[in-house]
Amino acid sequence: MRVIARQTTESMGRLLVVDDDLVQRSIIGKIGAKLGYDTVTASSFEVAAGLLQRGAFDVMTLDLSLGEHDGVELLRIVADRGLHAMSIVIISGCDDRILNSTKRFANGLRLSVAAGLTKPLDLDQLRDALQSRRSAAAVAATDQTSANITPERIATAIARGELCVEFQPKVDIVSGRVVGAEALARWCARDLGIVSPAVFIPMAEQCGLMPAMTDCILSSAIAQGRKLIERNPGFTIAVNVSAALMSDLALPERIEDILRREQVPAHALIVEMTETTAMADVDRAIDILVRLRIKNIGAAIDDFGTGYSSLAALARLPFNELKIDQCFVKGCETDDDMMKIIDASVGLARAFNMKVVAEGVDSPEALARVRHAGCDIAQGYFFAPSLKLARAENWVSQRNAFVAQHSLFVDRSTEPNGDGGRLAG
Amino acid sequence: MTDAPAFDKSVLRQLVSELGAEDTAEVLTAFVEDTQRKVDLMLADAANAALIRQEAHGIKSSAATFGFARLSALALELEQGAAVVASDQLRHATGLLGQEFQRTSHYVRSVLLPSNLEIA
Repeated sequence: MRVIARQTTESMGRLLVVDDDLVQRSIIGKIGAKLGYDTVTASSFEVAAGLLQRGAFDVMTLDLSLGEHDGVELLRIVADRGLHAMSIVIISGCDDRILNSTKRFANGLRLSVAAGLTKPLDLDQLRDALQSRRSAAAVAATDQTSANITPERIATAIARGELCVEFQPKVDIVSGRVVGAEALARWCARDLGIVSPAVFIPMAEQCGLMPAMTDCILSSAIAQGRKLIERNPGFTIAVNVSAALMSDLALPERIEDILRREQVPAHALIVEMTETTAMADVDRAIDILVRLRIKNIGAAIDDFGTGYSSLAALARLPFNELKIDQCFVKGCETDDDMMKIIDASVGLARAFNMKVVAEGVDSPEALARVRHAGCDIAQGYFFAPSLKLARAENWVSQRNAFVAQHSLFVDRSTEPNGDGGRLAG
Repeated sequence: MTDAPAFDKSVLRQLVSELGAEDTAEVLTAFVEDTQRKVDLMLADAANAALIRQEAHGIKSSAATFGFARLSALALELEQGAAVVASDQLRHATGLLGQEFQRTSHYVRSVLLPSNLEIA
């Protein structure tokens, strides 16, 4: 273990450098100190594990090769100790696929991966990675809110009408038109502020609150989305359905009742479910999905590729839309492994005559890649985050008016190297 | 043994601009000492494929960090080939890496460090 004092008056926090190579360890440590980190270096797995046991670090750089041990073992220890807020820079001299797989593994453990860097180190990338960590205050605030959420509080939120929906636009990749929106559950509590769905949805699923929550979100989405549907021909609203509801054989009729009450045509609704949800009780899922489709309600397989039954779900269930999970789309412009999954998913969807939606399109480069792969629709921050109803209506009408007035733009957007279709505003 | 190693000065130049000449000289010295230790281990047990592979893996990255391109390339070949080549080939390749390292070490000690890295 070696301590390298920071070379700035203000501290950026504590940095742990884990690398069994003396040279790499020294260089990373010195750059960290110049950036303002109080730096400690560890030359082995054992030393690093001991340091993590005794003290807290804001950032850790981790070499995957650690002699007899490896960095993956240390990531597991970091997760076991609940050090989810510590920003981690993974460094590897192995091939890119090992680095990419390790990043996915760490993300799966809910660790905060700031970057994955290959050796020899690009010093600019290293500096950027060390400076990009999340602020400790933001992490602490999130943790504090999570601690106050209980099943009883969620039930109260449903009863009080604290849950609402926001709409994330779905854009036709060829025409540039907004052709739909996914309705996403949001919770703004009087006493807690904005609560992340990543916090309250898993808890609602565990506590049997999803049927009530989904009914609430479904009614709200259809009622609020009616204007979007009326003003934009062919517009669809997509709503997620939980596994708990997929055992309810009365679901198609309940949905039909809501559509009738809100005077919304059946074809304007798409019910989204994950493959895991659909395959939990496949006979009931077929029963429900077939009747939804007979009623002309759309059905989308969500988060495609992340469950354990993707191919079986496609073959057995009458989905008409496939949504490629954002974990394959985010970063696909630099990760060829992910592009292979996207290409294969598009091929499968075409074979089953399904539309393909790419989720998590956050950059023009990602849009270019999914367009080239043949996806039909894109959804993601490159276009818009989820928007409250008034903003969503405004955004959709402005964009579609612009697209209608600029036929030249439409033609260009179909070219492989054309602009991504982003519009001002 | 006195000829210069294959060396990309621009890589060392960037390191100097990032760390400063003094700190770069410190890590460069550490590189020579640490790599000498690794090369000695490899030459002493040149039929040990696992050891050769592990040490070559480290030399590959460290050498490239300073711009010693041929040393890094030889280490990469050793890392990739250690498990599959015959022991006499492994011994030969390890010897080549040792020779390239001696050229590198000599260059660092006789040219780079005395110049306070200004040559970079």
